[in-house]
Amino acid sequence: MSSTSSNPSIPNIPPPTAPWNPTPVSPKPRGLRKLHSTQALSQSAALNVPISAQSRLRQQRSVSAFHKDSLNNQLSAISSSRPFGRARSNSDASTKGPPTVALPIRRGAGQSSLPTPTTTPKSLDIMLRHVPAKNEIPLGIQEIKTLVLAHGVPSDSDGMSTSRIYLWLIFLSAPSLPTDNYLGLIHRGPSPAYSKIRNDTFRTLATDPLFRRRVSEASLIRLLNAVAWRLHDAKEERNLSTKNQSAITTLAEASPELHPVFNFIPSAKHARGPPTATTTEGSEAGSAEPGTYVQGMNVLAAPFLYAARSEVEAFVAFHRFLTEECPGYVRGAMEGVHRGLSLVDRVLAIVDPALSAYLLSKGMQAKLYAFPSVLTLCACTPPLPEVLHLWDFLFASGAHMNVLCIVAQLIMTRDAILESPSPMKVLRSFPPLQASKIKWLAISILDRIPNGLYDEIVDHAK
Amino acid sequence: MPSDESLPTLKILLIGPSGAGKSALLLRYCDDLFDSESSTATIGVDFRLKKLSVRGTPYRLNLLDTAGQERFRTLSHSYYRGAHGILLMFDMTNRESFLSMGRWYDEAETNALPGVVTYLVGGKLDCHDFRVVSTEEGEALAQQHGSRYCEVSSKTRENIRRPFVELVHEIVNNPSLMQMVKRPGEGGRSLDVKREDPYIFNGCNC
Repeated sequence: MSSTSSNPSIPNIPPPTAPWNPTPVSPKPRGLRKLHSTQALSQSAALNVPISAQSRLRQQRSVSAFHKDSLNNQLSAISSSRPFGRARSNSDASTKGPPTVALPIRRGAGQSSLPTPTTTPKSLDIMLRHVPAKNEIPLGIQEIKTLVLAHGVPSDSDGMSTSRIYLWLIFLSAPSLPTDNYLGLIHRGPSPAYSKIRNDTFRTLATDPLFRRRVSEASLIRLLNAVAWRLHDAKEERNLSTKNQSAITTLAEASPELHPVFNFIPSAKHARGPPTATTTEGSEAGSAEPGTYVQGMNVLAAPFLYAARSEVEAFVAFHRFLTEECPGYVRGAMEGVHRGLSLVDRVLAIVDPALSAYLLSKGMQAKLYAFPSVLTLCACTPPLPEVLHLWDFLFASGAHMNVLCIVAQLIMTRDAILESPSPMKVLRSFPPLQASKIKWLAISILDRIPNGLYDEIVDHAK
Repeated sequence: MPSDESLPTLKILLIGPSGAGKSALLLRYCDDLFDSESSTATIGVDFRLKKLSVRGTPYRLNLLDTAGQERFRTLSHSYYRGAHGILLMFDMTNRESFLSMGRWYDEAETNALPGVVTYLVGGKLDCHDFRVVSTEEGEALAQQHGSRYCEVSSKTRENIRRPFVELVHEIVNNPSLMQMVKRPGEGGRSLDVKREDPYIFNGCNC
């Protein structure tokens, strides 16, 4: 991953140097700022860890989040009751605009469906404000993750929660970004992908009244355009560096025996590029290219804007998510999505061979019905409040778990699929999301797949 | 009357630039619906089923609706596999959309089986005032690539069945294409999985 541009007017989101990234300090909500700054201090040692080891660390962290016994006990202890449900509003007072003071997080008592209504929300809240000691940051984050995995993030019936976006930012280890830097991106005007973005924004979650009420098209356009600028800059940066590298490669090819070291230049192949290299922004297929705007990104951006309390937060979280969690989804020919789709097929074949065989006998591979669910992390399936609950789980456990969540949805529709002579009709649109069920089912699937396959799932979107 | 399942299945792919109205065409053709308000950009691929009788023989159409943005083109190779027909669609109110059709034809010819039937469709026929591509131009392009051409409006339903009927007609008159038409039961295992091996999981109350 290349670092971002050196242009001073362009904000610099640091590259993924360490699992928990140090961040520049800037004004932000108190709890998060504290956590971030202590994180920053605690990370100097981790910076020296080689990239390969870091990715293993990431992986292990994801695995340890609940794959192994540590969390299983906790999860099974509460699995007999619904961990969270959609909270009921006592009144229909939810009017236009962001909810202001209704903080379900402090009012667990009103939410009878929560297993431990009084303690859980409080502890999440406390943990967000609590500053762990320098060396306890990873542990602190792990504890928050465990809480969220087990209990979810309490929110109102519209899916609103005041703490959600901060939890997401922490889980994504998103850096802080001064608002001025975001404004700088806005003031650069239309990005090369602008017309594509405009072609899609007006039809983003157009049928979702909750989304429409809270997020304007203008704000979606700004966010996507700003992200497009960032991706564009990363690409420019990369082009510059590949130019330099192709000079080295040429040298190496001229006399490889003299320069065996050049054989190990990782991107030497890509540096030369395909002969028919690209024309317009966004059309290239080189797998080494950073992504640009692609249809579906608009849907992926929507929950960030819905959950965030400011556009800047949504931007940071979304950009971080795209570049760190799922770069393979938006890069080049979107190979990450295809890997995800074939993993859906493979996992289904293991956990429900009969269903898998039936679907395959009808020619129904995941690539036909699950493309939107993979690319948008299930955000394409309403209702939005359930999407947010599912994302709480996905960010706490690692976005790769989405593959298992898709399999879980298939299993939940199992009877309808098997009873239908044309399962295509059933699968054209997935039934409304039930985040809680999906989550527990996904976790139970985890135990049934071999470690090697799980490793592939962890890496598929990178 | 045979059930839908036993009908020969034809696979038809719908391609063309983003915003041409491919999904709207399918929505109108399959469900007779049109709603510009709730249209969404297709993500990756979508599919629909439709039964169509040509000269008294019913067929089951497996219609694959692909995302138009060029980024998806490179990945759609696998969707071309086994396609009998390809509908190429552009927006008659958008010059750029029409000019891109050469590339879409290339795409179809590169990826599909030799002999696959192509058909060119100009969309948004109802937008008379904004039309920038003439019928002659559309026909010329189609002819150049050995396709038939027609203009449709998903909004007013004008000509909405015509491309499908004509395309299927041409497919079924092509013996080499028809050889690869799948009939259910051929080469497939018979499965009775209705109640076999229900997936049982622990720790979930669903």
